[in-house]
Amino acid sequence: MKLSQIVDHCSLKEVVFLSDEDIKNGYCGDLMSDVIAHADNESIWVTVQAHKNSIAVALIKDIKAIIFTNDVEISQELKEKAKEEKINLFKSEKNSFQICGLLYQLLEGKYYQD
Amino acid sequence: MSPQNILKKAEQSGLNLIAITDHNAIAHSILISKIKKASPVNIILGVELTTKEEVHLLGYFPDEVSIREMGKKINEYLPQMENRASFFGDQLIYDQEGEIVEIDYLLRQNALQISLDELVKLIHYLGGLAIPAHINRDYCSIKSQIGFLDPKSEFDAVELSRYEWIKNKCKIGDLIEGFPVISGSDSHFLEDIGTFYFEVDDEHYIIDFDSLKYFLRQIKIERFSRPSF
Repeated sequence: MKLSQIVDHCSLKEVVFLSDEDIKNGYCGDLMSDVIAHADNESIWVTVQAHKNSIAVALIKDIKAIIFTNDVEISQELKEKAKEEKINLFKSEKNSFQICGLLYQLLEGKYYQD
Repeated sequence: MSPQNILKKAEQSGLNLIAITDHNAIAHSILISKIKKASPVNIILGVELTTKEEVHLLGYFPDEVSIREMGKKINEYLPQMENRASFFGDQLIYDQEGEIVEIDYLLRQNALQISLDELVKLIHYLGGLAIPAHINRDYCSIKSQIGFLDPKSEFDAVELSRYEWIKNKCKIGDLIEGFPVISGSDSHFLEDIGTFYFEVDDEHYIIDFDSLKYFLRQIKIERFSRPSF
């Protein structure tokens, strides 16, 4: 699924949108140790943990995009790092549960239709 | 666990230097420095802060003015939620005579609404030392919350839990990612006091805030002069 389709479907606000990547998986978590341990690659990550280390975690795990939920504040430093490392960032006023619901329909919903 | 009892137990255990670092609370750290008087136990003013990322960060301060200012900032950044005493216990405040004079109703376990990086800057602005606590623990640590320790961070040192300190056979002067390592007993009960402490070698001495600060800076600077870096 193209990232741009996800952005539309979830009404995400663009923070850093550099390339319209193919997204295959999703993960939700606020503990970076957990994300490092369990997130799939080529995925989109939903979190409220807007620390700049999230960019490094995304790189380690080949995460293509991060959605920050609950409209958390995103520092300038984090945005700069994302641009540098080419990680797409989005934000939403929705909470992680709501965003994951929408994402799940998009990424996994096809299995129900079969 | 009144400051009077803590001081007595520290004396009995033969400790030379201690700090009370309550969660997002400074009253007892100041109180123990006031009742110390002729005691051979030296005191460093300190507090264990919880950042927005839910990382535990130790702050140590040079004097009462700076830790009181930190206390004001804590109250600004702490969400106004009531403590659930049935779960966390009552947050009792003692006076100089060891009498309970107040119950603190704010939930001190909560996370301050300020980021780790900003809080480190604030501590430094106040002249203090910023040291992330138990950095390898499974919860409320640098590792659990934000994944790893960035060598470019502005920390003055890092703290390992006593278990990690012993497991890794650490000694004072050791470095992790370029940061000096310290440890502590993390005593939550009187019986814990004195069960763990670290010793300073003959070449160095740490007896108070200033000598601790000097010691940590010395190790950091020594690191950069080493040819292997």
